[in-house]
Amino acid sequence: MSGSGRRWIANLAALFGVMAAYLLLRFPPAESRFYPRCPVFAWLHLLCPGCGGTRALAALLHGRVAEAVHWNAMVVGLFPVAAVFFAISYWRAVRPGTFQWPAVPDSALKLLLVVVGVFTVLRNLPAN
Amino acid sequence: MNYFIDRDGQQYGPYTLADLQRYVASGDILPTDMARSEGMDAPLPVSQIIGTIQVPQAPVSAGPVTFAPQYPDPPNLNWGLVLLFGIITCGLFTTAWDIVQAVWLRQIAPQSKALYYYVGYVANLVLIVVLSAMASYQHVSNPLVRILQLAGFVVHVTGRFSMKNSLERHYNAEEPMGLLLSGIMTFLFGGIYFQYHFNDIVKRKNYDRAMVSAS
Repeated sequence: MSGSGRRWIANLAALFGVMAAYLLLRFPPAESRFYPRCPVFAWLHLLCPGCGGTRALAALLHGRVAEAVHWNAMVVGLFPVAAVFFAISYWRAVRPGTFQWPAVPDSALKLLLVVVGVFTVLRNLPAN
Repeated sequence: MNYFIDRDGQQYGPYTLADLQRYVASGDILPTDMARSEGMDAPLPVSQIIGTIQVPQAPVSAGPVTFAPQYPDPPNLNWGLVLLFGIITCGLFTTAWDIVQAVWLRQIAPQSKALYYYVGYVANLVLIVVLSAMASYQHVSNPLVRILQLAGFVVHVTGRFSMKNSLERHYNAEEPMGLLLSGIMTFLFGGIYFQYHFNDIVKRKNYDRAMVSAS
């Protein structure tokens, strides 16, 4: 892909990110009905690892960390990591030269996937 | 008979004998690479397999050999990250990533229809959200939503298989890499499964570039 095409996509993705943040700030998911329901929860009645993530992000954007953790602790924990990852990706996409995604060690990735799996099991235990 | 090349713990192929000859001639496969076929007990150097069969000589170039990328590399975000971002966004990221993959596919295979299916799927999703929100505000259920969900599923899966077919066609003809994709994995994991193979393809292409640069 050409550099200008890459920059165009990066800026478009950033614009979508800003619009999504504005949407979450202006229309909190807890008070608005137009947000789509998680298909996993709707069909299986199980909490997927992302369930409550939208509400958690909205609470984070409002600075209510405790409430965000209540909705989805994993999303709160991963949010700074994902934000740094996408910020670096954006910077690499808009600067001249060859684009490369930020490298994430395989071991860290495997650990994260295990954490996601354990989190999913724990949040679906009957005690919760 | 088909042959497989073992290089740095990775397996490439299958290649026919003619493929091996051509790649040895072009320098993509080295005579010292180890190769094996279904009927062989142990791998042998490619030079022994080709044996006395005459290998067509690569044309002698006047200047230094440089790698000219004819086709752009696939998007190379680690497949594990695609899976992770997909999980924590309830599938929204993988939906967007499907589009990214399909846009790239159109660059190497302009005849591919996968992008149309994926865009149709996203448009269908938006329609479902709008109709669901309207039904929710009116405190009624809209039976059309269920039909659209089913239609969306069919369009999404069709897009995945369209992508699978185009990828296999391209990576076994224009850029022969012996790509063979599983139907079950395509059905279950779609873009994440394709991304796993894209990571592998980029790794192999980078290796080939390094070999060409070194020679």
